Amino acid sequence: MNTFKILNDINSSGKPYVIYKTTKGFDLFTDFSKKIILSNKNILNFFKSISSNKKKIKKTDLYIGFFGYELLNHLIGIKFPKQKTIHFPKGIFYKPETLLSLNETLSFKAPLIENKNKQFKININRKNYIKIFNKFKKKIRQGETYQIKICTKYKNKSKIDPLDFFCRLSKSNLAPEAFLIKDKNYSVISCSPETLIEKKGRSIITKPIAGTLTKNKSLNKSKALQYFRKNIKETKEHNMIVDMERSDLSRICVPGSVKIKKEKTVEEYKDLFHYVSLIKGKLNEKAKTIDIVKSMMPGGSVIGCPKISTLNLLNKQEKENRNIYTGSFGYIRFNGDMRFNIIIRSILNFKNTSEISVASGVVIDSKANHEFNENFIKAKALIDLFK
Amino acid sequence: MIYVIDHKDSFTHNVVHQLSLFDKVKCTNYDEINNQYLKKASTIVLSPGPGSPKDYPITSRIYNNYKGRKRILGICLGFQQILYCEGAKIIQQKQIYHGFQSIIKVISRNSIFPHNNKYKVGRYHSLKLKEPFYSQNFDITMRCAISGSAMALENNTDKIYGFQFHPESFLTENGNLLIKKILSA
Repeated sequence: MNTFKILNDINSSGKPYVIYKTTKGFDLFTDFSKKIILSNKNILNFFKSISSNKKKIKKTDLYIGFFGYELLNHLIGIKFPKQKTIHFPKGIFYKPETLLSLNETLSFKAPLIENKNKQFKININRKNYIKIFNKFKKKIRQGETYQIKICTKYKNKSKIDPLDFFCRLSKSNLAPEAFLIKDKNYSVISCSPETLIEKKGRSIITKPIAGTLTKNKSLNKSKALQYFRKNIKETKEHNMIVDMERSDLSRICVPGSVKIKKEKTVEEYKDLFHYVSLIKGKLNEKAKTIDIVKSMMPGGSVIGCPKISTLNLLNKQEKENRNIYTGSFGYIRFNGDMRFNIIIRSILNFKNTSEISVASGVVIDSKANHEFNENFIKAKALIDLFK
Repeated sequence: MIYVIDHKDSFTHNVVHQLSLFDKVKCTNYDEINNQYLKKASTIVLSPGPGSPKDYPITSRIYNNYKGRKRILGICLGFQQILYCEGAKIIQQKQIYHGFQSIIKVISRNSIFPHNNKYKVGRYHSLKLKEPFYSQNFDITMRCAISGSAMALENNTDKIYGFQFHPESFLTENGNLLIKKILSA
């Protein structure tokens, strides 16, 4: 079946579905026989319900969905202060009965009537951002954190067609961890570039990104690499993330098996270059799905370092729930294999409100104005879809 | 057996893996100190971590209790913790090193490491030792080749060792050798 027809059919059927990037194209999951809404209360049972000893499984023997940021904090014992919330679920997983493969080029018939609104409201203005920035810088001098990411959120009211948004987004930015969730009362459109976990058997990898460079005509891949290598600030930020991810993996892996397979390489995307490393390990025999999740999530590269004290600083500061942002989307197969990304560069549309969260890092030599602008640049690629 | 007290750091399990090359290792959180492990261990390792030594009174108590009775190794915050317990002041530095690779030098002839040897090491610290520092049997044995900041301490009488840098970091060359030498000292 061709991609165009599949997409038209699924979109007009009104059925919930999920699309996830693969190396060759996209997978489309639908005909959900189960939908599990996660909470602090049922999360442990959810992990228990996934029997990972099955050897022979079907392609649809998996749960696909996401863990929100707050739920991941709860799992590692981090308490949350009272925050403003839109009461969006803390996590949702689906059991699909149908899996279809799609080409890399996504297209479908003209979307339903949309009511796009270009105006976005930001939750932290420049002045307040600088205040928070300076406060965190002081914490860095005191040694309470070495790197911390301030999150800002853009919001607007609009009725959108998620598939239309996703098709346009993957045309402009084909990200390796892109996904779309379309359910009856919400949707998530994402061009996440970052793989957090890829687990097959006892092999596990993580691929942290720290360092982003916007493309221009005079830049090519090797020049981008030179830029990153020479830039001490980017290098230090990246080093920190590499050591943190090594440590997160070491928690669940056989001693001596955690190795940096690709150290500080450049990956090229349509509009930007990323500074990426790849770390691999061999899982302990005893490591269960929940141990892996607790050890790796929330993904360190988008939080800061060290993880626990930095999360506490962030949560004390933030007035609004992050919802999906810096949570993880992916799937867990019934044989225990899994793939998860970090939810960044995403739009959450819930109750006809769209929200886009972005974050940029504070290290000792960051500049507040620069990071504030950087945040806007990151959001802009998504905000532009509303035109 | 080596017992690692984890000050909730994001590098501690690199330390655990590195130590595992040489002995059995147990590791628990600062909030969940295990007295059995403390008693059984031949070496106690004070992990890196956020904040400053005064934030970890239990670690100070453990140090004072086991000083001279067991081998003790402190890394980064753990290094500062040992110095703090020995009466030193730990202060903020002007230039901060996070994720930074620098060259350090063995400056003491009393060191178990060869005098004048240089090492490339990874650093993650906001704070440093205020000098001059003096405490009986303690030597500052390594210093940053550029700034001169204290990078290692040794007390070979009581078998107490500390690194301000991170021997477990991928930025440190020959980190395993440094650890091996201390564990066999």
